[in-house]
Amino acid sequence: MIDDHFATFIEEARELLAELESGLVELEEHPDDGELVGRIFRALHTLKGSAGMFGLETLAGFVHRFESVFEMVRNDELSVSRELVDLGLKAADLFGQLIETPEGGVKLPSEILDALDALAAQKVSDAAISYDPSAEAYADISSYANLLTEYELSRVKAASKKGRKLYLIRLNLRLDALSQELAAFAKKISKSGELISTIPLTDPAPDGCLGFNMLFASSHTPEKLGKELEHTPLQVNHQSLFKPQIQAYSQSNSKHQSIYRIRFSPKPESLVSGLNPLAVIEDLQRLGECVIVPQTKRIPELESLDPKECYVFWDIILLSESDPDEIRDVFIFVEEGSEVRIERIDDGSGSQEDNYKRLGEILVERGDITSEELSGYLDNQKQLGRLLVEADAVSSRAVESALIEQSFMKDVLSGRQKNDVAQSIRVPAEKLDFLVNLAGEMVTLQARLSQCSLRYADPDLISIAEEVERLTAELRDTTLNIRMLPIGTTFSRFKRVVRDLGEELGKRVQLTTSGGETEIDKTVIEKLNDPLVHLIRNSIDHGIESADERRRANKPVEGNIHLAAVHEGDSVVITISDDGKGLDYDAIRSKATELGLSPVVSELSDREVSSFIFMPGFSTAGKVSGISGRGVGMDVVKRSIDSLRGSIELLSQPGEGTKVVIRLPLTLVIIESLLVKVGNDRFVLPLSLVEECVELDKSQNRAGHGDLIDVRGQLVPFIYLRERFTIGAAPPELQQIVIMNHENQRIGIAVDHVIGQHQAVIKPLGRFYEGVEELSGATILGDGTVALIVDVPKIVRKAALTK
Amino acid sequence: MSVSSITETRQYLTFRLSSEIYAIDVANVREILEVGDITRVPQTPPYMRGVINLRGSVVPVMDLRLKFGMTETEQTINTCIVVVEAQVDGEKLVVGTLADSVQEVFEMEPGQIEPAPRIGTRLNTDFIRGMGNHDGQFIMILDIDMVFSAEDLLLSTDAVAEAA
Repeated sequence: MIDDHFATFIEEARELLAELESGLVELEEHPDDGELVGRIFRALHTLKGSAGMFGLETLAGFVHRFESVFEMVRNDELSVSRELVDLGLKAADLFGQLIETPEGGVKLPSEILDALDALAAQKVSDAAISYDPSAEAYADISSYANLLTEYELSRVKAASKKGRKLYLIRLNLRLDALSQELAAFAKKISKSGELISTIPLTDPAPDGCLGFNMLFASSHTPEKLGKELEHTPLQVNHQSLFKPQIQAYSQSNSKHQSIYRIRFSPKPESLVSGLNPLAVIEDLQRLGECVIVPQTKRIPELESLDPKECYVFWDIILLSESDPDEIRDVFIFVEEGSEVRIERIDDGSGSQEDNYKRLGEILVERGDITSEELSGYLDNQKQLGRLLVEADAVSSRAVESALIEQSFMKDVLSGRQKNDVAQSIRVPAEKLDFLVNLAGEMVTLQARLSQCSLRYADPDLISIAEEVERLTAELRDTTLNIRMLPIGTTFSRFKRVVRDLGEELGKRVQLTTSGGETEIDKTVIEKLNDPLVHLIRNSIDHGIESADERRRANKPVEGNIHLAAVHEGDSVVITISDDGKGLDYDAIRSKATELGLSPVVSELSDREVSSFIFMPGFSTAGKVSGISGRGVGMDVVKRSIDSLRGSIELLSQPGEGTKVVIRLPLTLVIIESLLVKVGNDRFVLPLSLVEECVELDKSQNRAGHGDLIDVRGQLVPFIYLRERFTIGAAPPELQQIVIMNHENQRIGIAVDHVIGQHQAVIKPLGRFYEGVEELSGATILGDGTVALIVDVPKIVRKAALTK
Repeated sequence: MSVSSITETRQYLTFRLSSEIYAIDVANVREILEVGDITRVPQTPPYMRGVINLRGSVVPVMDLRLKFGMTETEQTINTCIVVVEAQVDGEKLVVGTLADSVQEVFEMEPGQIEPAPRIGTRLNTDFIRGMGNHDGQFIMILDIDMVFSAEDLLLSTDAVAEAA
């Protein structure tokens, strides 16, 4: 049991470390980001706490010293410097070692401890200058002394001993929302210091308000405190007990979010006059969170339908900070005669009771039904929605829309109350893998059931099978989705790589990222780490020029590497672009000729030439450095991307930079595929690479040179799967060629029949078949037999080599 | 592993390949299946018969007769697949092996087992843990881990390279 907890601790500590590291690297870029400092501080604090709990005294002690330094940063007593970040990263590495070897044996280098002490020593001198406790201030507070409890007084004394300043903050609170506002304010200022007492005032306050003096201790300067309180949605007058006075200020009420009910019903002819209702709705979506329900009851029968008319209208529930006028502006181009109704159904004051209106009320408010009609139905005991639909009084879509409004409101209202409750649980990865496997089995079994049901042609069975199919698909998607992680977790790690490597090579490089929220399968992320590190190293070493060169080329001295991820269909595209010197195509060409890689090197396009870089042992680097240049690496990168069923491509503009484009499938568990047959054997081709299928007449066979087929004027090379896999049976008269596109190279694969689409759950072939390069796995078909998955990229490459 | 490693009484499953009787420690036997559809995997040596679907997992099937230098197994009503578990390089492998027929399960004491003769068998002696004697008949006890050893896997890759 203890071991269990310890394992959880280690795991958590690793995450904290990762957060610490990324926070530190970011801090260097944004030294004034208080939020960031807070994050680092919290990570340190949690780490210290859990380390102490597990008796890791060395670690806890060390983290503590570091934490104290960071506390000074948090309290503005120490500014963020490069040394501090350097020290922080070194310390983080040490934390890592201490965590991985809890038994001990890791010696803390004294220079880090000394450096920490030196930093901590700065504090004293800084504080001495900025703080000069004055007797006068203490006199001021003494007028409140009789209002304070003994405990509060002792806190005042302790705070001034710590060098904190005391502030009195004058606050006017609305009587009707007193407790909420007070709580909100206390939460807000708790970050900046310590609230010692709240003293109600008897002197006049604005109407409906009550004045308070908050006695507050903080190490912030009055200016900083003033800045922090600036965004408080409350009227605040604050004054320091010390000389510098803070300007009183007032600010308008914060923007509350309101909920609007909007009915947008364009007049039928508006499509002809160029209105795009969808664009209007998209504009609305930009204003806030939207639930949109299209109403289709006005759509006529097919024969009387005029495609130029707009029959649909929309009910929209919008949660937005905008006021009604701003919302009305969205509809500015909607013509007269169209119906646009905007109602504010909740102004966000928070005074709504828990239960939102009943379904009937909503329908009446929307004008879908009159209250007289409604009361007739309400006498009945059945569920109102069903009743109204059955009686044909309201369309089912109208009821659905009203129900959506109801649930949306409930969500928003309850969300206001418990925003902060943690909504996630921690599950070991193996359990997830197991679940994914089970879902995979379900998909296979469901395919069998569907096939079986068709054979018996029993309508009941077929409908069950269809239901199972729908559910299985949902189950599969949900399960796979659980394993998806945002790729940003790895991105932040690369910041460190870039920083360290840039330092080592004396180049100034900055890493920017985008699309960190893009989700991708956990396994893919894990396996992606090494290739990405390698590519980034390459960019820094070969791509980014030295500062002098960059200055000469009129580029900013600091090089930039951009890491981006984006979803594209059922794949994720990751690009690494640098603004370095780009590929030297001439050097690659001459090296390729030297190695005899292709007899026609000079005729190849730049794009084709750049693919040589992925060949084993290919390097144009003059000298070998510790980082790259040995010609090992890019082929390894290529191989790992291949093993993830992805593709990689290099694009470069000499002088302007290089871009590496990696395309990866979302998951490694299931692929959409095309099932084909050769002889008695069945094979599976990844559908994502399939472009089209064409027929191959026997007369076309072997006509002219080699195996080429004319696809609408373009000659496409093809291979016979039969020959490649030495399948004995004689080919049929008419064969099919599946045209595949891999890395912009089109290639045909000749098979006997194309059977159809198949959702292949990928199964490994196991060790015995590791040597068979042209297969990437197996899958189980609906009838329980096994089909083999063809590794198309490998086949293409092999075919290219033998040519 | 040699005969000296057999120190206790154990149960063995015997099966027939051609006219010879072989035995496997039952601890290594997972189950016995009828021969169904075997999907051939291209570019592999002939003794690798292909893969089968074993309740959702893809399991390779090996023709031990071809592997041991006999003729290919012909399918009869008695032919079956013995699914065995072997440890190779610390990795657990599940492999199906074709057998002409499965005989019986019985116990043998260490004293009943003799070391494999160095000569006189066409088999690589590494594959044999020992020779047992049961009802006056000689039985070759296979060392299943060795049959599927890593060295052997490399060989099959080479064979592929030659074939390609």
